[in-house]
Amino acid sequence: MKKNSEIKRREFITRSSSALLGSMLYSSLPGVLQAADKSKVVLVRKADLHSDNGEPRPEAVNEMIDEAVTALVDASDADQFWTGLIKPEDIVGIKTNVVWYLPTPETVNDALLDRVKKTGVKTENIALDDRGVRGNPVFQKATKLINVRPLRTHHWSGVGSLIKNYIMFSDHPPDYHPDSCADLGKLWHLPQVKDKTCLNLLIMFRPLFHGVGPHHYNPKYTWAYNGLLAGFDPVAVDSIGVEILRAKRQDYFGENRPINPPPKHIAYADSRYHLGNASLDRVDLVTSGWNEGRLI
Amino acid sequence: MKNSVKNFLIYGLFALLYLHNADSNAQNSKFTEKFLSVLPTEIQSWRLSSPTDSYLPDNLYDYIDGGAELYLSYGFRELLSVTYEAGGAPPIRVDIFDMGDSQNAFGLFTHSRETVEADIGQGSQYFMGLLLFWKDRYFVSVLCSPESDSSRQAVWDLGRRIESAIIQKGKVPGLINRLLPQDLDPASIKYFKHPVWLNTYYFISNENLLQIDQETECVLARYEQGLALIVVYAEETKARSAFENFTQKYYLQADHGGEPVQLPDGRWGASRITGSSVIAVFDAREREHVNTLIDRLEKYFTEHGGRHEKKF
Repeated sequence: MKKNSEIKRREFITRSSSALLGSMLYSSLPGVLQAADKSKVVLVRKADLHSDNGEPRPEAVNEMIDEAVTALVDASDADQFWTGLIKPEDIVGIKTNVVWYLPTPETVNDALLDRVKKTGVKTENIALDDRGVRGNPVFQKATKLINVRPLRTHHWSGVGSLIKNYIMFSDHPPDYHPDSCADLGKLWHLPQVKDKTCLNLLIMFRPLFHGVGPHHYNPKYTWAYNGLLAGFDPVAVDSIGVEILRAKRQDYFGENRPINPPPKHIAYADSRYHLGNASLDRVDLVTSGWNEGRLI
Repeated sequence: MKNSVKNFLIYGLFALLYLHNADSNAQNSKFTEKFLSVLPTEIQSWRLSSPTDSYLPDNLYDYIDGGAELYLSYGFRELLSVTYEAGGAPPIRVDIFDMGDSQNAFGLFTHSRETVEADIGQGSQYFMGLLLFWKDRYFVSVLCSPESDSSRQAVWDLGRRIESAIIQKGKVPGLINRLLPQDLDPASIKYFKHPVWLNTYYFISNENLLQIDQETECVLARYEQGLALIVVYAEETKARSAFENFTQKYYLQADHGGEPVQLPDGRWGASRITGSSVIAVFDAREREHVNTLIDRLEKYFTEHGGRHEKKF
């Protein structure tokens, strides 16, 4: 018996206007084919992402998102991707992140809302939320979720990852704290979440590679990486993100200083919860754009 | 008669609970009042916003969620959190943690320390808008990010006011004084009582191989020759059990005889047990470095206290 996510993804492919596009998409979606398949992750970087005031430029953000999703499925353009991914009858929740000092940039939230609206989904069937997802009527009825957040190191889970971004779907987040948040992957099997995520975007504009103080933040430990990671497999995208953080820490500290606590929840999301591929040799990374300091 | 006894017991229980809560609240308000009395309502263009927040171990998650575990692992008792707002400028967040004793406050401070400074309190560090310091049983954070010239002044001013409310100095854990001083990078010292911090500089294990718990004191420190770890257990039997478990699973041999072992990453390590303590060296480039360092560590540790007699 096929999993729901597989059926939805097959439906996405078969309803696509182009059979050729469908076959290409099919081969790009992780988990649809054999378990041994690689997961495709796209990294897009833009040297001139930030304006003089340090904020990401909306037009650059739009271009990066479009380029990433187009490359993810080898589509001819971004519209083809979005109309294949989301149907007008869908109810779409965009799970963002509002954490102090390093939230999902508004430019990214705006770009995603705009793209979902353009697929024909009714405005009242689209919501963007973080802390209130459990009580949000759109998220309660959602048929599709888009998962988007910036990457950062974290006091207890090692990193604030795409896997961790669903912690707000839990009625009691501390339940996931034991063993330094090892079982965050379990969140993805909650009824409000299971098999609904259609896209994962990990924002790497100014990632946090080390944290200090109670808010685990200091700009000293961020850098303008100017990147965006996209994929269907959250585990694979997180793994690539962590690898970039590791390389940055090596560069900064002059030694292979591990992310601590180790972000074991990403490996366990693969081995225990079967959400995707954590091992880099099972990730097909496609890169485009600015190459300097790519670190991977 | 039976009812009157029953009522007496019930009312007595309520009275005890009331007295207990009243006592706790009195202590809590004493903590917050101590610091609120020195915090200004205005500082430059920032104004103290109300209400101020106070957190205890069972609700610290409401404030810093997963981050709470770090503070709980260092014996957190209470937090006073206040915010100063200034129109469009970034807020200043002041967090004062009562860590129960100076050992925990020191340990928590070492968790973030990169250089040895003491411009304020018994140890401090300033990172681009973030002032951290410890004094006595308190760990203090004052943050305004991104920083500006005026916010930097305000952050330091608030830090000094808070420090002025802490009269006593606290003792540094005795274990720190038993660390060999030669070739030591003092800023690298990390003091903790939770296994998760073992991997701070070098990945050792995802498992608690050394059976560290809240009754165990640990210190990690960088030396020129490698990374040193000293773990002091409450009892010798616990030290023996942990040592055997560690050597069996980490080096994949039950007894390596204290001799250096080369790990798959090419680095050398060794460990020894002395009384109720385990001394280990990791991440050494050369076999000779391990031998030299662990001999000197053990000698200094033994000469400066012998068996660790501290009650935990």
